[in-house]
Amino acid sequence: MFKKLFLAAIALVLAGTALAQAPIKIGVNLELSGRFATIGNSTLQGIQAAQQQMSEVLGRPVELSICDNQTTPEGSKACANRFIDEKVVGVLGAISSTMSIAAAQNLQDAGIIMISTSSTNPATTQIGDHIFRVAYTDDFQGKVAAEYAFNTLKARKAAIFRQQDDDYSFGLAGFFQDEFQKLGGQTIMLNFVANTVDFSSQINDARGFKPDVVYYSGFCAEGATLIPQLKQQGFNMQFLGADASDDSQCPTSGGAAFNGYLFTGFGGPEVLTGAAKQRAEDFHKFFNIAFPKATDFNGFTLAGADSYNVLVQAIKDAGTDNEAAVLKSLSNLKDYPGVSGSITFAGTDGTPKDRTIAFFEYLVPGQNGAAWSKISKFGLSTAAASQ
Amino acid sequence: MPWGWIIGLGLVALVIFRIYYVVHVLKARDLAFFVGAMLQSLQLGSLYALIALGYTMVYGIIRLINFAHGDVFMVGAFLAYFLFSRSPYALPWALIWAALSAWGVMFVLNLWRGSFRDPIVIGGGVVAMAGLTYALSATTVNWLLAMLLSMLITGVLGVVIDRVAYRPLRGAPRISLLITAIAMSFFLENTGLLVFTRNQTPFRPPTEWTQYLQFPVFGSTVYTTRLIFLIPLATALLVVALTLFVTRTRLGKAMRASAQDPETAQMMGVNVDRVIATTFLLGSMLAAAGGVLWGLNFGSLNQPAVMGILPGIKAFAAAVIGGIGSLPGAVIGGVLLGFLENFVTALFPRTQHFAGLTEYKDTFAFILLILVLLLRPSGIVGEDLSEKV
Amino acid sequence: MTGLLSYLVFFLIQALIYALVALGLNLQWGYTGLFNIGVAGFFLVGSYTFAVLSGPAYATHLGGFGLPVAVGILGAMAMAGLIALVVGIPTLRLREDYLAIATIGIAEVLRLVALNARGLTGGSRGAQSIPRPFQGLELGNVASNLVFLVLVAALVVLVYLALETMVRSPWGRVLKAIREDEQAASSLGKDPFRFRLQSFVLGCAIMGLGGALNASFVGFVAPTDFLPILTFEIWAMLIVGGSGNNRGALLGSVLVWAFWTGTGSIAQSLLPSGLQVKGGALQVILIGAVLLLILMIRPRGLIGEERTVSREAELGGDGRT
Repeated sequence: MFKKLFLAAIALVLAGTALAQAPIKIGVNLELSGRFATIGNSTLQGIQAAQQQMSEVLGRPVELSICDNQTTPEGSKACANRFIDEKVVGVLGAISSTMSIAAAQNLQDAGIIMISTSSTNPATTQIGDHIFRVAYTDDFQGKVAAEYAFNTLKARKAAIFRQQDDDYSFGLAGFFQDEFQKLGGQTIMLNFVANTVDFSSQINDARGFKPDVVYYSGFCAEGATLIPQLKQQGFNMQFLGADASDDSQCPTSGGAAFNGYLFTGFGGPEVLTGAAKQRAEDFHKFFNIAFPKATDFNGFTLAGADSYNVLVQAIKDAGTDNEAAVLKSLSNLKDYPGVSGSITFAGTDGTPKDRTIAFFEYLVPGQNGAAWSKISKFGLSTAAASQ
Repeated sequence: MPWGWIIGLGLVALVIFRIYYVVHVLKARDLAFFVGAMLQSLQLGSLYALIALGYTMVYGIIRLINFAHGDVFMVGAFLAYFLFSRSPYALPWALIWAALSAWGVMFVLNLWRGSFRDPIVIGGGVVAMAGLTYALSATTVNWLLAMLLSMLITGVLGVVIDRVAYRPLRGAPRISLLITAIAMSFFLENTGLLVFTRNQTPFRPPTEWTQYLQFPVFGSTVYTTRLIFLIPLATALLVVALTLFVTRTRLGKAMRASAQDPETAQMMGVNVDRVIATTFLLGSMLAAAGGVLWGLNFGSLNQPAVMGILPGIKAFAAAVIGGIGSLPGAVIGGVLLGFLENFVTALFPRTQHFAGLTEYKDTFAFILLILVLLLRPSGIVGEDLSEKV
Repeated sequence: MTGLLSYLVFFLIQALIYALVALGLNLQWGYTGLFNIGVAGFFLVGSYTFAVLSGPAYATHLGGFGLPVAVGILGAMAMAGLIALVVGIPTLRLREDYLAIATIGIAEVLRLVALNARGLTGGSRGAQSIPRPFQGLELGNVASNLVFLVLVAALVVLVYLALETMVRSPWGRVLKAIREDEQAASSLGKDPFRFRLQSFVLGCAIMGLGGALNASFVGFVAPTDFLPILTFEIWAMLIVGGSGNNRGALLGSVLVWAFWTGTGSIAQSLLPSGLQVKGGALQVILIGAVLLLILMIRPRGLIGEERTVSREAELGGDGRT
């Protein structure tokens, strides 16, 4: 108690004098090591690039407090607790739904804003009014993938591989399955857990089903093992993945098996339109200068950048770093010109209204995955689709 | 014995009936599918057999469940990975790898010659050192060379583990040894995390062996890879070499004698410490070979902290199922486990109405283990060890 | 000051829960010589059984019986004991290593079942909102922890006293006799298998009790809480404290848990964030090294087993046992 009073007194004294320059602290909770390390670092680079573009707000420098959750729920909780101790204004991250959900409850209870970068499980933002995201949700992602598989690829039987101990993968696979069945297709669900290396039994299960499309809702850590094993076992139909495949680990570790692999992901400069396209391209140029050695510029990079941008914008709108004021301006954010399209939180549960999802294809020439590239085929807007 | 045959033949008949049922009544699979599953099972079983051999040899001689063995298997796979993926090496690295491997060569020669001062041992070490330094710094290392080098280095690692952790406790209660083995296992896993990597690692050396192989059977196609020849053959070759070593050489005979009765063997002039070191050397070399073939088979290595655990304890279960302490038992147990995991899940496939057994296949080894312990504690071919010593 | 105090309460609760488990293991290993390396599995059974029996109704998996906490705890102990019976019957007649491999296997099986049987356990998400005792009183966070501490401490004392009485009874002496010389014990007409099975089942039930308390304290359970490292920690506690001595098990639990959390927070505060990831691995290596040192220098642990000298030998006075 005395400590608090004492601190408050000091704060008052200092505030009156020269310390208008005290930095505004923002927590960053990311999967920087462990299974999602590559997408974690893409996201971090996105956040850092955005910070370089906009390093001050209200005349005060922004300081990032970076915490590695090691791709474990416990680690994510520990990061959340650290940020509660540090009294940050808001927390950016985590990337995956499992880690985001693990941190969200603690942050919500402590009254700290959290903006997940790429968590797409609908449950994440439903945890409370302090939880936001910059991504779209999986009900949308699963739906467009199922529609694409059914209508464009003319597939009627889909084998779905899902990582059943992950909230994102589990939820997304369910949405894909529901939509695909609704359209009149048949599905089979094949489960595996993190760190699986031997997929032979799942592949055997899939074989009898004779699928004409394979939907993979997991991450690259396992995907880079699964997809080559599928190819080896004579599965030559189209493979379809989701935003977790937007990770250089897939083509570099998986090699030639990823040639022609299609996936849905966060729309980049190629599929955005109008002013949003220009902003994304400018950001890409800036990013290439800031991180000349980066292996990826992908949806995770953009999501990271925009999570930072919207939080800083909300602080700017609030005119203070007071938590309640920032929360209010963030919840009322309308048509913020982000690098991943315009972002509106007003009237939502924390999921932005208009997002663009894109279909990408990996091109992997030769056996070695080093020379991979990805092309984006077309984009879809969530706002247009929901109308 | 007739009961064993009756049960065995009964099980085979059941399997055949189930195949018939799945193919002709359910029409869920065709016969070619089961041929493919059988080949897969043989591949997986060979890998388990290679690991199980190391467990059974060590257990046979010092009655220790070497929990670190699964992690030795992991180290072997990762060493080979670094050997082929980073070559050709700059001179200092080539020197380090060559020195480690040359040490392994000297170790092996020493077991035969009996002294490190022996000219053949020194000569072998020098030749290996020079040759390997040149080879590693000049050319790329293919997977086979990487496997052989990794076997040498991992073999020595096994001996070092014995020397550092187990030998000081030889007179101590057996349980101290077991706990030390568990601690050693955690040590290797966490050192692997620190030194190797924290992530799943692709294991795709440029080789023809991993290419797809598809051939028609019963009017349908069997999908497999050329590894179906490599893995069982390599396993058979290693098992034959091991059997020849154990039955034909002096050291091998000393090994068997020590396994039967270490005290008498010692009295007869057998250097038991050396025999134990040999056991660790051979077991670890086989585990390293298993690790490399494992990597080729799945195209990927799991992260070091988990890679060795499950294959390790399953392989030990396989050794117990086959009959602990018996070399043929380990091979039979390993192959049986491969079939149990792969073929049995194939017999009960996942359909839209039935969840299948795939998600529980990691539990099969332990369920079978409990059954075997209940019905025939000595294992399928083992001598009777049911009595508590 | 209150922060430190509440942290201390938090620390003690966790340490005492582990102490219970270590007491159960001590009965098995210290007094009977049973090498159980599936501690995490029995802990898991206790946790999940408690969650199912006393937890709220879950939308997607089993639960909602809403039984009182005490019933949940007893159920957890019974379930862990039952599993122990299933594992014990085939293995306890055999050499001790077979028990080792069977228990490590069963722990792995149980973890996989917890992960895969979603309808039963809630899968990887686990079971949430598991109640604490006296929840109806609406205590604050600190008071609730204090009450919990008192409860756990009381249970530790109870289990400790019960075990002390038991191991000093004729039953306990038979256990030790079997541990030391099975043939001698069986030639005196004691069936070693029966006594081993009793000890094993009882020990596992105590582990189940620890699991139930842990689930209640933490409030949720998930399969990742029951990795083999938990078994290793409990073993480290017993070996460091001194197996064959219940006070040793208690001391070891507090010390090792203090060492574990201490090195953890030192790593958190001292290491740069890039290295913190590796801190976890270093921690395990460090505790392994401590364990090896203790095994080599002081194989009986800090407080080893008391010497039991028969009255006749004492009277005879030649000092040998």
